[in-house]
Amino acid sequence: MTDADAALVARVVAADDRAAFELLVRRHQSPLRNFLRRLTRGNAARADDLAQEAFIKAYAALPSFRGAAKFSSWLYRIAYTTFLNDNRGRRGDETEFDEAQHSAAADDAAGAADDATDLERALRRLPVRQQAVFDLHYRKGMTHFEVAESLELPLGTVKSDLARGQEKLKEYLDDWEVA
Amino acid sequence: MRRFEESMERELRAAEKPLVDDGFTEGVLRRLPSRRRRLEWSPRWTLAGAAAAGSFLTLVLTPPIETLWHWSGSIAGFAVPAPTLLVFIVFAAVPLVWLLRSD
Repeated sequence: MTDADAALVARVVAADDRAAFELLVRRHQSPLRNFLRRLTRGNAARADDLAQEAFIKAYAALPSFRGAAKFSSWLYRIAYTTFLNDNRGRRGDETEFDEAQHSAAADDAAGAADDATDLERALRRLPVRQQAVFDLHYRKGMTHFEVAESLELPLGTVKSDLARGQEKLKEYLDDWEVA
Repeated sequence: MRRFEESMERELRAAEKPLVDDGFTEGVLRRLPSRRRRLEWSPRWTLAGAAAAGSFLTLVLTPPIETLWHWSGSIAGFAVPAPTLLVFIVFAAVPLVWLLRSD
């Protein structure tokens, strides 16, 4: 945890300082929302709802946060769990929900709406967990250990996800170059 | 693979565009629960209530004290034995002082 985060967390825990919590939200909202937008394949509204829920859960759980991990790692863990639970709920509620169809449609929409590079489009084809691992390691600059901590995965799984993901990405990108 | 990894890292970091807050933080703050206040107040009032109830039951139900209570009540309020009064005052005052100080 950075010193600045640690000081703010301490203020929230000790005195329920909402101004301190506001600073934490402002500091982390952009990378967290970006992270969730990628996991939800560009669904900005759903990603923002999940991000809000993650911050609210973090606020409620802050007294139990011991500061052993970085605040950001802890926050991403909450966000990722919130995302997974929401996915499970959607699968239960929407019998017609089809992950592959949903992904393809969302990819088309996202591809048309943004100026994603080939690499980003290739990333969207990876399984959700691998996308999360790539995002936290390469975009957020987390170490393997921090990624494992954030996603509650064994360290070996993180390393193999990165290695396998890279192979798949190279494959996709080579195919597109050939085509 | 190493070169691929490095160029991928560069490209992914460059593509991480900051999102404008645009009311997001206010939305979070509006939805925050008032959890702490309830958690802090609840045990305090429970303790204060339990102490008051305990003092009352001790005074009313303990036979010697009950006798003294009725006897002193029939003559004058000052006739309650000093130890009983002391116990009552301590039991009633401690939680009250604690409540006032913690605010």
